[in-house]
Formats: sequence, C-alpha cells, structure tokens
Amino acid sequence: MRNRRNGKGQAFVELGIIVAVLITITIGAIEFGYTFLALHMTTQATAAGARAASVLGANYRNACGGFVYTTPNHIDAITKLVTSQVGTVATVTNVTVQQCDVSCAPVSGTLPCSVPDMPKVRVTVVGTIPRVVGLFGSSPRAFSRTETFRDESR
Amino acid sequence: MKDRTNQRGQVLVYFGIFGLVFFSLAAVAVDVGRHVFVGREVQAAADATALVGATTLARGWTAGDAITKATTFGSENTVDGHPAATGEVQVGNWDGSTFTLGGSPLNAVSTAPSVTVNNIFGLWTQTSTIQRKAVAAFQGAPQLPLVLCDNTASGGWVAGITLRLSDSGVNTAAWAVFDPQVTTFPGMSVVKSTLPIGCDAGQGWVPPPQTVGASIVLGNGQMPQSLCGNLQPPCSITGQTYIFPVVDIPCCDPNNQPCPLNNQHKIIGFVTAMIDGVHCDSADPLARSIVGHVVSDCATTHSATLCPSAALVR
Repeated sequence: MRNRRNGKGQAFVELGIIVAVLITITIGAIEFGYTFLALHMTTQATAAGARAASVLGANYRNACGGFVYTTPNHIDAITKLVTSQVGTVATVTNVTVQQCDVSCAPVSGTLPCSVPDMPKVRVTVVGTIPRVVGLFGSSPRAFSRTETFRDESR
Repeated sequence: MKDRTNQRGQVLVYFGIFGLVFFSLAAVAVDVGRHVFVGREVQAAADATALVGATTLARGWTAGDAITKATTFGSENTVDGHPAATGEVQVGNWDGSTFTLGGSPLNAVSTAPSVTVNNIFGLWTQTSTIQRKAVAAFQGAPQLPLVLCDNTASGGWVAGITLRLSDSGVNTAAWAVFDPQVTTFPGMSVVKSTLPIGCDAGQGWVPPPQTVGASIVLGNGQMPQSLCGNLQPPCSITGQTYIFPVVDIPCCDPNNQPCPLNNQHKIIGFVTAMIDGVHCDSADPLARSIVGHVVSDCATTHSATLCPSAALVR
C-alpha cells in the first residue's frame, strides 16, 4: 500500500505556488510602475505642448493672434514637440490645440474664455500606453491629458 | 509531555511576517508612485497659474488684478480629475534667486496649489495633501544689445522719458552682452555682431529671452565714429521700437561723471522704447549718441508686443 504520509515533493509544490504568486505580483508592480511613468511623461509633454502653443510666434498666427492652418502649421509643431517628449513610452494618436476669443477666423476650437482680457490655449493629447508583459491578455491603457495655459502671444 | 522539537508551523510564521512586510512595501510603493504622478499634474497647474499672474503684471495691470486672474484661472487645469485648490497667489519681487512677497519692483508671482487625494491602500493615512510651488517672473527678448539704468529715483521709465547712450555727457543706456557665460566685457566686437543685420557687423542674432534676475555684462560710453556711421541707414534702428532690459544700477547724476554703467549687473525689469535718432556729428550738442524715448505704457495698452512677457523661474 502507498504511504500517503510521504512528504516528498511537497516543498516543490509549495515553491511552485509561492513563485507563481510572487511573479504575478512582480509583473503587476512592473505594469503599475510603467503606467505611472508613462502617464507622468505624457502629462509633462502635454504641459510642454500647451506652454509652447501659448508662446507660438507671429508666423503661426493671423492678425488677431488666432492660429492659422497654413504652413508652418501650429498643430504639426505642437504634435512634433509632444511626441518627441513622450518618445516610445506611449503611443500618441491625436493632439488637439484649442484657443478662445479669437475675433477673426479661423479659430481652432470653441474654447470659452472664462476670464475677460485673458485669452487661453488648451492642448489635449490622447493615445495609449502599452503593457510591458500584458498579463492575461490585458489591452493597452487609453489615456487623455489636457493642459490649459494663458495664450501669452495675445 | 509536549514535543518541544516539533517544528511544524514554523514556516507559516516566517511566511506571515515576510508576506506582511512584502505586501506593505508594495502598497506603499503604489501610493507613493501615485503621489509623484499627481504631483506632476499639480505642478502643471501651478506653472499655468503663476504664468497667468506674472503675464497680467507684465501687461501693466495691478497686483490685485494679477491675484484675481490667477486665482480664477486656477480651476482651468484639473488634477486627479478635479480642480486643484489654487491656494494663495502671491505677488512680489524675484531677484534671480529669491522671491520676496510684496518686494520692489513687483515683477513676479508665486503660487502653491494643492490637492487632497484618497490613497489607494492608505496604510499610514487615508488621505494625503499634495502641494507644488511655482514662481513666474518678467522676461523679454531684447533685439538690441542695449540696457537702461535704474531710473526709479526719478520716477521710473514712464512713457515719454528720453534715454541716451553717448560717449560723453548724460548717459542712461549702455551696451550689453546677453550671455550668462560672459562675466567681463569682451569688447565692442561681440556687441557689434549682435546688432541687427545692416548695422555695422550685425548678424541679426536675437539673444534668448532674458529673465528678471539674470546677470549681464555692460560696457558703457563706447561710441566710436565708425560704429556711429554704421548705425545710419541702411541700418534701420531709427524709428523702431524695442524692449530694453533695466539693470540694478541707478542712473547717475549728470554732474557726477563718469557714469559707472559698467561691469556685471542684474536685470530688474523691462522698458519698451523707440530709437529717435543716431547722432554722429561731433559738433552736435548731443555728441555721438543714440537717443530714444519710452513709448510703452503697459498700464493703458496691455499690448502683447510692447509689454514684457513672463517665464517660469522656479
């Protein structure tokens, strides 16, 4: 008869369980850390993009200070800055630039001006943050960052 | 009698202790990581608010206006999905390294918004308040290598006041080198190369925007006949309006020559002035000189092109 009290292999099974749990936790920590890092960098890049948009020079603007869509294009310039700052950490799918209170067309966006005598500019960056390991087939995390600055060239 | 050599359950105790420590550290790491991330969002809100305040001041509005507008603007940026508490907006003086509340001249705005977050694990506290600070001060992009002395004793550089750079007599302006690496005046050849194209050796080089508190090197009273001649057409500085930095050396008494507009000095503000003429005739009562007058009265125009702008300094 087989000795059912034989403990051979028990430690091995326990080790397997512990290692599986630890690896799962470690991967979770890596995913969490990476997502925070990527969100941090995209927030920084969005703020830099909004700041750059607020001080864009006259060659990007019409007589009223509104952004114009001819070459050089302000959206191209801001998108380039944002994507270069984000790098390969996240995928930027769209960058939008909005202004408020521009009295002569074209106006990019319909941002309301909440404070008189204070034009503002808003940059929104959307995209996805990839998973490092993609445990259990998790899909990339979508993000959207928005920063608003005073439009200082007006 | 109990078998005291029985070691069953010992590993369970170890596992319990190490498991507790391990999961506690993981929980702290998640919450601290989130603090760092939320802190970045608060910093962006602080920067935007400080810039609103400093730009309002630079455009000639009052300190009260700067506080009102910056405070109102504070809710434009969200942190963790909610507007940050703007905190107190302070108006004061930035001297290049220190912000002084209410100091003179008023050239900077300081903000310290905060946000209270609910911690995910909250091992030590359920909520945390995250605060970040930002200071923004005046800046300007001078297109001529010229600065003005501090005219505060005579009422400041208000609209209509004349300025003059001359190799003799009354002198309220000086040549400058806008390069923080340069600590002693390198001679007129460097200054000449930074003049607009068409003026002497001018390359049309525009220095990076200068911020209040930045140190620059001055060289006073040098106006050789050759340079004076080369500031005439096709050089087109006459009739043009430029932003001039004002440095922390008082304008001297004309009876107490020579005027010591030399050595290294700090920028304390900016003034917009028009160049009225370049005089080269030695028989001219103005001697060899560049003469202009202050045009900008930001308190009435609030113009983006005539008034200084703002930049983050901390």
